[in-house]
Amino acid sequence: MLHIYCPFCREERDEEEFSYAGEAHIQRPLDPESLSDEEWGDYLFFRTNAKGIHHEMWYHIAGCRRYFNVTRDTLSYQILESYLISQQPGVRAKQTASAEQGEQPNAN
Amino acid sequence: MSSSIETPLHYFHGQQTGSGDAQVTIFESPLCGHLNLRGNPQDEQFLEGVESVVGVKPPTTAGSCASSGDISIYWLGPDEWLLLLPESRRAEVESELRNKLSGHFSVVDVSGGQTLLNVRGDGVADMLKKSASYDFHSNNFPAGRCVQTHFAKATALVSKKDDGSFDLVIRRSFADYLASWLLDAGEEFGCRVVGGGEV
Repeated sequence: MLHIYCPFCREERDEEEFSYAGEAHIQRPLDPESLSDEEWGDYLFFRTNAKGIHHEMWYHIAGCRRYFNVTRDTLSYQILESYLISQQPGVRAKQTASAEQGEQPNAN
Repeated sequence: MSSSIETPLHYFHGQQTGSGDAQVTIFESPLCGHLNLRGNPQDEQFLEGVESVVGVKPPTTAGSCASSGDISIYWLGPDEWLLLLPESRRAEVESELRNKLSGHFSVVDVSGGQTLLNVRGDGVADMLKKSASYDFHSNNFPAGRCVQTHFAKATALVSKKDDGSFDLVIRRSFADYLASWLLDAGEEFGCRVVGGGEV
């Protein structure tokens, strides 16, 4: 059971109160009409599937019913921080060689 | 022929589990008004507009509640509150809020969807521990706090009163299930459901 800090309720609650809402920081394209099918497919379906540090959205469905972001290590399940959707993460993964070369999908 | 409106748990009133005197009492309040209020907590006009009707500003501290006279106001989220008030004042307060507030806000009457329970007695803290993972110990949950959490796998808004008892606002659709759950959880202490009468 994860203990997740809700930045709105300002306390740690059990994972069962929350619902996972997918990867964070995915921006909807400003002009979807101009995208190729491949770019639109990438936006809709392809996620980073990170091993290690991962930024993800959680929904406090049994509590304040608000979305927020969490930085979690997908290897250890350790939660490193909770922050608002409007904010940027304070903890980031170290850039790997492949990410620097732009091989990671959806690297913004 | 007269008709009456009954509370969601009226058919539970008088039921008891456990032997001897009931140490835990579940009191279902008479029908009361539940108003869901949303607005911008940074907007001073909104806060003052609510205060002019309710008598107290909506609490902006997470998980806190306030009351003024016969109206209580509970923090549900950063821009969402629940007002509990006597049924006789429901329509008046709702229309007053609509008159006094302007801009981006909402007032929704959710009275028909929920019911208010008050649980009290010696074993009440232990009974709540069986039902939720949230820490209701007084160190963590003093009077004046409220929390929405999973309660017996359903959801409830739980708040602590000054007299040490707990108020539970539960969904009407889960009322039957939760009343059965609470009677079972309170069996070892002796547990009784009482009602506040019909309208």
